[in-house]
Amino acid sequence: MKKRLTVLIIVDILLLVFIFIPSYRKYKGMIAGIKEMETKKESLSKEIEDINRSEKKLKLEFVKLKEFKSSSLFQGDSGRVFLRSKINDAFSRAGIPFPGMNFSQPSSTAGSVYKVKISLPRIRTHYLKLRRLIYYLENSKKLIIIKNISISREKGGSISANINLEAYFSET
Amino acid sequence: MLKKIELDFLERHRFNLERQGRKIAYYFLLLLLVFFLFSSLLYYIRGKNKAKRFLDLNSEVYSTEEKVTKNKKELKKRKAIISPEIKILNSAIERKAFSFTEAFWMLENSLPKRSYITRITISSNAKVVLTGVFPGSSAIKDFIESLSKGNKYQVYLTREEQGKEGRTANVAWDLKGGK
Repeated sequence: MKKRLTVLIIVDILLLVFIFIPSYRKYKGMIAGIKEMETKKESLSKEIEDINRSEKKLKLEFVKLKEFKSSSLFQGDSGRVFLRSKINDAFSRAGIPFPGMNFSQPSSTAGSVYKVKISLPRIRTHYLKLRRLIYYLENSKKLIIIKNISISREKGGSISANINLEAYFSET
Repeated sequence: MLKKIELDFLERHRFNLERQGRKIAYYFLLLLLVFFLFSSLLYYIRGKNKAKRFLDLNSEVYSTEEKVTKNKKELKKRKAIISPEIKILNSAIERKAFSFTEAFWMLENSLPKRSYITRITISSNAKVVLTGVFPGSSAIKDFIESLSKGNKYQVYLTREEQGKEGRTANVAWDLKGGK
């Protein structure tokens, strides 16, 4: 009986040390690992939600930008001809003879958008006509920006003006 | 003789007690053995199931991570395409906010009657430079005050000097501040 007892004690201890404790530890480790993974998964799904939201916002911005570009910017090379006719039209509506215009090389390129500087030198006219011209240029549907106007008084009541414009183009 | 019989009885009794104790310990240890075996088996089976779930989750998390990285890259790429365009167009729209027609109208209504302007320069950043003759020492001050009255923006006199052609006034609209 004594021998059997000793054997049983040894077997019990061996079972406890080599089988019970490791399987218990492994089980607990798995539970902790699963919890960690679930937290990670949750944070990742939140991140995905954020990305989806940003993507939606970006898509909307993209659509708005596209609309703005097609409605307010001059399109490519044909846009130059259109811009010229627009400015010419503003001059004729204001009753001022068109003095000609100088285009600069495209600058401030960003993606498909670029800026062209235009100078309208030595416009000889009267103040009221000039003001009308400014009004037409300013209220153009296309993105034309008056950069500056310099007006000086000439002899005989007329004025001489230099106007610098900026027009925005989009590559088609 | 009686004492010997008593001692024998006690010895036997002790022997019986010891045997009973060992028996109890034996069954207790046997029970413990069964408990350890059973619990280990249970933990093993449950652990195996959990391991499967852990592996599933792990692969799910890995694929989600990949998806997130890919989407982030894509989003960054798209942003990089449109952000500069938006920036340049926003700055253009901001500059278009300044109305030259309004500036002319304001100047017409505010210039002193006896002043004689020879040169006007107006820029889209709301800087206005007037050169001419402003009669009287307070004419420019009065002009600025009058200009400020109907203007939705703050108006500043940035410089005033006496040149060959007359007194010059540099005036600026504060476009961002507003009134």
